[in-house]
Formats: sequence, C-alpha cells, structure tokens
Amino acid sequence: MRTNSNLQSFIDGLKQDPEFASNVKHYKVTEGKDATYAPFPDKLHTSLKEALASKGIHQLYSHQREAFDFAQQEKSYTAVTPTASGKSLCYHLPVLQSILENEAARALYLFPTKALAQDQLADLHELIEASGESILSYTYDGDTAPGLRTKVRKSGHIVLTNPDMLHSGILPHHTKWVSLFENLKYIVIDELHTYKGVFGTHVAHVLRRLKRICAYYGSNPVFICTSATIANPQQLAENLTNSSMELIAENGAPAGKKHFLFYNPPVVHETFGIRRSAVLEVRDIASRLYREGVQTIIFAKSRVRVEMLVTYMKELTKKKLMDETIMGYRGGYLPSERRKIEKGLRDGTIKTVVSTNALELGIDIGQLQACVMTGYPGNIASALQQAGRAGRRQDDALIIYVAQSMALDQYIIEHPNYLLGGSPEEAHIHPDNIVILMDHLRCASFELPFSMNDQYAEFDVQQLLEFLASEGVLVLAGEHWHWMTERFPASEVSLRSASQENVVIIDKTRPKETTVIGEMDRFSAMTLLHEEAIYLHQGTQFQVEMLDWEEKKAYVTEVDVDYFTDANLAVELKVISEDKKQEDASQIVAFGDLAVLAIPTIFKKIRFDSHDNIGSGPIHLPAEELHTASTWLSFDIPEGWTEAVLTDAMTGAAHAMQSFIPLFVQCDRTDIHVVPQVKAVHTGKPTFFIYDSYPGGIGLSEKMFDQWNALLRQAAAHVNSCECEAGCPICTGPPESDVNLKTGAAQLLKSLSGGDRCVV
Amino acid sequence: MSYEQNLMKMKGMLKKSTSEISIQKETSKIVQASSPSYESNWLAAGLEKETNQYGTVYKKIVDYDETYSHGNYQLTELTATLQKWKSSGERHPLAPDPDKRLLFFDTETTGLKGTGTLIFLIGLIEQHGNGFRMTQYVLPGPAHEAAFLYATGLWEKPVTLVMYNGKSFDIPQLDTRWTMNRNLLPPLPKHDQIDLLHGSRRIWKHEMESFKLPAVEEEQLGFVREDDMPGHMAPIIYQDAVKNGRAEMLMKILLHNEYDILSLVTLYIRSTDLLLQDELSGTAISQTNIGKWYADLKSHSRASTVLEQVIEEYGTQHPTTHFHFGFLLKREGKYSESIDAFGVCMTKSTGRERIIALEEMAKLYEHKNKDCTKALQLCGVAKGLIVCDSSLTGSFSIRMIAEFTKREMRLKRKLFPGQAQKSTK
Repeated sequence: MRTNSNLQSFIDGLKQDPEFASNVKHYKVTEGKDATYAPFPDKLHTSLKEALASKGIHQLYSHQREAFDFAQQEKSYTAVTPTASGKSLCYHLPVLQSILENEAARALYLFPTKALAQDQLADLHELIEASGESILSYTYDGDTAPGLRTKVRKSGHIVLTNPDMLHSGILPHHTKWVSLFENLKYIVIDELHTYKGVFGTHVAHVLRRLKRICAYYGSNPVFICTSATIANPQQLAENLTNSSMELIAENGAPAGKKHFLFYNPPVVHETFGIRRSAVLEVRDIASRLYREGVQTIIFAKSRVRVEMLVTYMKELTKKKLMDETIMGYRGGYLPSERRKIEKGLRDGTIKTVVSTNALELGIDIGQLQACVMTGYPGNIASALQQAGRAGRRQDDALIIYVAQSMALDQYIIEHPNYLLGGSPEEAHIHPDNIVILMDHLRCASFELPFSMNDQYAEFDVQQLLEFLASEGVLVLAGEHWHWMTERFPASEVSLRSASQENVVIIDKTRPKETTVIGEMDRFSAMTLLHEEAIYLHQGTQFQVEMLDWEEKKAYVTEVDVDYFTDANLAVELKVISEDKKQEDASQIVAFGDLAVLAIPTIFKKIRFDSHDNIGSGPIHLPAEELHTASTWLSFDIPEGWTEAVLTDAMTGAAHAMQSFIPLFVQCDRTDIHVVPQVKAVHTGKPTFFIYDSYPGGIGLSEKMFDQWNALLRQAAAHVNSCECEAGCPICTGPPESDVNLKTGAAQLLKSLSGGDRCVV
Repeated sequence: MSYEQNLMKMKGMLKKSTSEISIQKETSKIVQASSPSYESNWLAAGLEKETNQYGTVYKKIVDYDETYSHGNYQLTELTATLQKWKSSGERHPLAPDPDKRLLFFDTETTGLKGTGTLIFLIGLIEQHGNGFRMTQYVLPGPAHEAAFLYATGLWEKPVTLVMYNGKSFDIPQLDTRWTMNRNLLPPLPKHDQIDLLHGSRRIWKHEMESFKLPAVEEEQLGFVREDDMPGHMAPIIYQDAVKNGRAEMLMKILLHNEYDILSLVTLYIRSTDLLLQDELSGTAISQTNIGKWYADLKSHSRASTVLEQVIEEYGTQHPTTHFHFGFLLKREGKYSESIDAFGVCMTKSTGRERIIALEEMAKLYEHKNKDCTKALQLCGVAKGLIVCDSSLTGSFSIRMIAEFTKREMRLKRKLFPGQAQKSTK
C-alpha cells in the first residue's frame, strides 16, 4: 500500500501536466478533523469492554456513547455516520449488551442488500469472538442453507437480513419465528438513506407489517438507524418506521484530508458545445492511477457504463494471463463473484474497481486511495458517499470528479461549493401511495387477519379491506377479515422496482452448460435485453438471442463486437383526473392522475470510442401501461410561432428542465419524466408533463406542482449561459440535424418563467 | 389495468388516523363463533355437526368392513404388514413404533404456504374393530379454526402419522395453524412421521416417471380413480363453499381426500411387501433400489441378500445391481468379488456408472491386488471413455479426468520409480 507522500506527489504530478491542469476547473481541499471521545459507559458488560480492548479500543467516539445511552433509555434513535466512522458500534454495543443481560433477547438487523448483511456478519463475528461469549448470529437470506434455517429461526440471537427476505421469507411465515418475535428487543436499520423513493416506501410498509407482527407476539422493539449525511435523517427514519426518533447528528470520528479535483473534459465540437466523453477521460485518468499503483475506485452511473469502462481498462492488462487486478462490480453479478471482488479489494490484489452505486454502501473493502466519479451521481448524499470510499480514517485521499456533458454535471463544475459546502438533499418516502399500500395491506391480511376495529399502522383501512373482500381476496367471518385465496401475496410484490418479475439472463454459449449469469427488472429489460441487444457482463459482450417475455427469460451468447446498443421508448399520455389547478392569464398548472403507455420502438447500434450510429432495428415487445401522479403546465402558442418551431423549442426546454429536477427533489433522473406535447389531448394546448415513474406516484411530481416557476427560471438561466451555439447535450439536448434548438428553447423558457431573473 | 384504476379512485377513501393506534394481540380469550349461515346446506350434503368448547366443526365418518378392497389390496392386509415390521426388527424410516396409534393422515389446504393458508380438511383413517374407520374433519369457516383443530384429537398424545409428502407439506402446515391458535389450544405433541412419498421415490426411482399419488396408484396399487376432483382445485372449491355456502363440490374434495388416505393404507402394504419380502417379487430396478436403500441405512446384510437375489434372477442383465453390490463386497473385504462386480459394469453399464466402476476397479487393483499395470490400463480406458461419452456433464468429466490423471501419475511413479514424469500442465 502506498503512503500519503506518494499520493501527494501524484497530485503534484497532475498539477504540473499542463494539458491535464487546463481541464481542472477547481482544486479544493477539505481539512481533516480530530476525534471526539467519550469513556465506556459504566454499565457496559465486562466481556464487551475486553473485546473492544483487544481490538485496541479503550474509549468510544462521542456518537457511539450517545447511541448506547439512548438505547439504555429504550429510545429509538438515528445516528448520522459518514463512511468509516465506526457506525457499527452504534448498534452492536447496545444489542450485545441486551443479549448478555438476557439470553432470550433477540435482534434483527436489516441491510439494504444481501451482500451488506453477509459482510457485516464477519464484522459482528469478530467482535463476539473477542468477547468470548456465545452469542449466535446468522444471516438469513436466499443463500442460507435449508439445513441451517431452523436453527437460525429458533436460536439465532441476532439475525441479519434484508427487506426483501423480511417481506417474503420471514413475515408470511412468522409462526416459524415465534422465539424471535416474542423477544425482539432491537431492530437495526443500517444505511437508512438508501430507503427512499419507491423502494423506501415499500420498506416503510414492510416495517409497519413487522411492527404489527411484533405487537401480536407482545414485543415492542427499539429501532436503531444509521444513515449517511442527508438533510432529513430524523424525518426519514420516523416516516419509515412510524415511530418517534432521537437524532445523533454530531459525529465524533476523525477524518482525513481530502483533495477534490473538478475535471471538465475539453470541448471537442465548438459549434455544438460537445465535450470529450467523460467515460474516455475517466479511462485515461484511471489508467494513470493504475500505472502509479494507486488503488482506485471508479464510479459510473449505469451498468452499461461500468461494463464499458471495464472493457477499456482491461486493455491495460490484456497481455497478462489471468490478470484480475481490474474488476467490475455491480448488481446482477452473482454473490460468489461479488465476494471474490470484495476480498480482492481488501487484500489489495485488485488495484482498480469499476462500480455502480452498489459500492456506495458500507461494504467493507478496506482503504482505497482514490475515487474517480464518472459524472454527478444525481445527489449530494451519493456524491459524498462515493467520495468517502477513498481515504478511510486519517489518510489523505484524492477524489476526481469528471463532469459529463449533462446539465447537472456542468452545473456542479461551475458551482463546486454546491457539492462541498452545500447542504445535502432531503430523502422522501410516500407511504400514502395507494398502489404500494394496497400491496402491503394484502400481505398484512395474509399474515394476520385484521379485525373490524383494527387499523394498519397510521391508516384507517376498513374501507380498503371491504374493497379487498369485494375483489374476492378476503372474507369477513367472526369479526375478522380472513385471507381466502390460494395466492401468496408477498411473491406478487417486489420491493425493488415497479415491475414485479425479474428477467433471468441465461448464457447459452455452450449448449450443454447453460448458466444463469444475472437478472434484471422488467422495465430495464425492455430497453436492455430486447432481441439483438448487446448485454455486457464483467466486460464480456453477450448478444441477446431470444427474449422470452412470457417466461421472463433472456437467452444470450457470447460475442465480440465493437458496438453497444441503445433503445428508445415511445410514450402516450392520458389524463385520468385533475385534482389541483392553478390558473393565470397565460398558463394553467395542474396536478392529477395520468396514464402512461410506454412502447419500446427501435434500438441503435453505437460504435465504441467514436460513438457513431452504425445500424438500428425494431423492438417487438408489448406496451407497458403505468398509472401515476403527474403535474402539467399548459400555455398558449406564442404569437407567430409555427408548430414545428414550437416542437423544437419544447423538446429543448423539456430536456433542460428534466436535468434540474433533482435540484428540487431527491430522486434519480429515471424516477421522474418530463414530456412535452405541442397539442395535448387533455388541454388542447402546448403542455409539459412531469410524471413519477412509479404506479400511483411517489410524491415527486406533487412536489414539483408548486415549483414550476423556479424550475423554469433555473432551466432558462442555464440554457442562456451555455457556451454552445445551437443547443448541445448540456443544455437542450443534442440537435438532430441543423436545427437550432437553443434559441427557441431559451425564448420559450424565458417567456414562461416571466422574466430574466435566475434563482441561483 | 382496471385494478389500478379502481385503486386510483380509492385514494380518496384512504384515511389517516391520529388516534392511539390499536394493534391486535394474540388472544387467549375463547370467542365461540356462531355456526355459519350455510350450515343447513352442509348438513344436507352429508356432513355431521360436532361442537366443542371452541365452537363448531363438521365431520364425515365412514366405516369399512374387513372385506373392503381398494385396488389390488384389502385394507385388512395391514395387520400382516405391521406383523412383518415387528418381526423384522429393522430400524427403517417406514417401520412403525408398535406402541403408538397408527393413523393414515392427509390434509387439504387453501394455499401452498404461509400463515394465510388454512387447513380446511383433515382426513384420518385407522384400524377400528375388525375393519377400518375414516374420519374427515371439515373447517366450517376461518372463525372456527380452534374448534376444528381441537376436534382431531391430535393434541392428546404422540401417534404415528402415515402421510404422502407430509414431512414437507402437511406437518409444517399443521404446526403453523397450531401456532396461530397456540394460546387457545393444548400444545401439539411431536408425532412420528412416515412419509410414503420418500419411500416411493426410493423404491421406484428410474422405474416410474411421476410420483404423483394417482400415478403410483395406477402402476403399483391397481387402483384407478373415478370422478376424482384434482387436488389443485381444492382451494377454489373451499373458497366457494365458504363464500356461497354450497357444499356439493366440497363433498367431491372429501371424496378426493378419501381416495388419498385409502391409497396410503394400501401403498403402505405394498411398500412393506417389497421391502420385507422373502422372495423376489419386484422388478430388477426396484429391488436394486431397495438393496441400495438398505445399504445407505447401514443394514448391510439385508442389502446383500436383496442384491444377491436380483443377481441370481437376472444375471448381468441389470448392471446397476452389480455396481451397488460391488461396493458392499468391497466393504466386506471381498476384493476380488468386488472387482468382478465392477467388471460387469465396465462392460455393461453406461455413462457415469461405468466411469465410477472403472475408478473403483483401478483403486482395488492398485491398493488391494497391487497390480499397478492393470490399474494404469484401466485409467487409460476410463479417460478414453470420458472423452467420447457426450452424455456426461462437463463438470463430472473435468473432475474425473483430473482424478484419473493424478492416479496415472502416481501409478507411473510406482511402476517406474526414479524416472522423470511428464508434468500435468
């Protein structure tokens, strides 16, 4: 492992390289800070004190002590813990203490992924072993051996699992877990900040069901949450668990010095303001780090980007046989593959890892020296998590942010303090979403019949139960609503995505040995696993030979081609209801329900490196229909504008607006859509629609309903200040031919926002 | 999509409550639910009513006299079956504990798994006087579950339950239902379990394709179902009976359940006959399976007897018998007989069995007969077969090639000590 001075000289070397330095727009250093300590609590069990001492810990960080004290008062709490701040002791100590005081006590740990739970088990085992006590802890997930399951259920003191397993593997079988539910003292929710949006909303309901089962068996567990830095950890935790929470905001852990480089790829096409591809820049920067032996993590936003980067980077090692110093890491890899990569990172055999946000989370991969971000991950919390991957503890760390051409990325390059000094975004969930609520109400009814006086968490659900009875799902008998179909509702509800079944990806390159190499949610599969698509897995290219949509199977074979594929979706919109409306002289803004019909249309084959379009073909898949929440703004056609001009202006304006929505509500770009229509069926006028990607809506477009003006002004200012001539990927999206997208979009945005003033 | 549209309309109906949240707890209070409104329909269809302190349950009792036959067997042949087990002294998964009541047991449920799945029918059959008595308990509705479970008497003392796939289905379901009512009911004791699905799979592996009960009935018990309602219809029919009060179809489920438990009795007789017979009566395949089963249960002398019988009858027609017999002989230290047995497989078997037999022969020649030249030759034969046999799976081929290569190297070292060896890589 290299020392700080090596990293420093590497940074100095970069600064002295004129070509590189000219692209570095800002160089910022955040200073480290010293630790704040607190003594061990007197009550802390001797074996735990000894265990900590054996790991060289003789006092606690202040936040760990605060956590222990809240737990002693049986108060639920949320601790804000940046990467590598000793967060696990915030829950391990009170949990182990309670088990040492009462052997019957039980705890349930929830991690957002199976991988994290398995990693944390190792950490926990180490602590328990050092204490010399016999406390049983197990992971319980799809990988748990059938022979071990009974033992976990009956005698595991601490069970580490994930929300999906809790949802479909534990709660519907609660009678097998009586000893856990009767004695459940703590529920630990690690990585709280990941429970947002649709997934968070689902988990909020899983936790409401969990509390219902606990109450049935007479336990009333304390919740312990740990979260990365977000604006509203306490609110999120309270909303998620439907319990009141104490907040531990001050963190006592020390931090090392961080060097941030804000790198903007050079403009390669002056007219269109197109910059060199961030992926290619990252390849060059990462290669440099690789050659210097700096252990580096590269973040990319999509699976495809990860695979492209792995392909590029592996060029560096292709002459070496069996070289595994460069690896990809993302969801869709099999657990064994992931374990191997994590281990390689910890023991240093892997020098460079390319990851999606899967490694933002607290998977223990030890100490990396540098982090390269391919573009802005969409929100501050994520960016800081990614940056936190480099330079654990007191060591210096290098973080290189490489901007993409997209608007938000360029905004960050221009305003580095937004990232470093600004306050992070809020994370929201929306338990009121009727579609999700009904899904979980069915699961809850299956688990335990509701009585005619029961509530479901904060909801009065008697009318909804009546509706389920009318659908033939429940029958009312003896004052209770009993489940009365052969269906198993939990298997019909997936917590992770809108579509309910995943598509399994099967490699049939060798006909005798077909193997499952991964899976993908249905909606992504429409655009990534259609027939003839090139699917990338660990840098290997596969062509989809057949997509069996009925059976949800994609058959792929290995190929070696010099292009990737990119698919288009066409959407139709129909307003179902209008719940809110605001009108002034020239504009109408409304909010309501929308039906969206999405049809994948064609795909393009795009050559690596040059990114030329070298072919295309149709996609034959059934349309997916989505009923969701939407806000829309309609206006009169500006005087003297033809429909063609307006179409281009609206397309450009929509592109600019979509980019900035994450500044107003925390979400991924794909959680929300902006669609322009020159003549919408509902209004008969030019209209912009903003809608949530999830059935029933998750509160995003509802938040935008009040913020149209701010959004329009932000977009107007941005398009105006863009350096390009006629529209570019940064502002209005790339113009298709010789059309000038920019002028029209700028004019339109300016007139709709009612002036020149800009919000930032 | 209409479901989603309906839901969107219901958004307005969703109310949030600020009042103290009421959450139900496990209850130990007995609330006797009143008899369902459709009681008269159910009684008219032929059910009897029974009440206990928990409420109502319906049942159907059928007696069979000593001459009653089901397929090829009379039920009363069970007496001889039990006697055979007793005098065999075998500790076998199908052997009953002579001190416990023996009940043939089958349930019908509203689903496949989880706490939302109810058992709505429990059928039991046992020896009664000179004949047999079957009792079927029917759940009147979800509110009567405690009464229903209590009526079965399964809480009284441990018995032996003979079932078909009961270990992984009926018993876990029963445990779940009992737990849901545990504060009302006396605890459920641990019953002995005899699972005839497991037994059938062991006996008729490679001989039968399907182990669904009707298939076993037709092929082994000489019983063909008439007018049978398929079991997967049961949930829908019960739901209908509860929602609409109609019982005609429900009675068909009772008939289906009756077929199931009658077949349990005769299947138990048939399985025991094959397992404990003195003379050969099954096929070469099933008898070999039985020998293998005894060997796995460490009942070696019985295993040898069974396999010897098959070999006597069929000679080398069925090499698999020789394959298993080879292992038994090796265990007994009869190495040259063992080599002979595996030798039969070398010429008559195919696929995986042939390769493993060759490996065993190579081992025996190398370690017991000290004939390394012969062992080396067998390794070569085996490797040649692996390469051209496309029926073998890739992972097996790779593993075995590696094994034989390692063995060859060792043998060569023994045969030609001091000579430089070619490395494997």
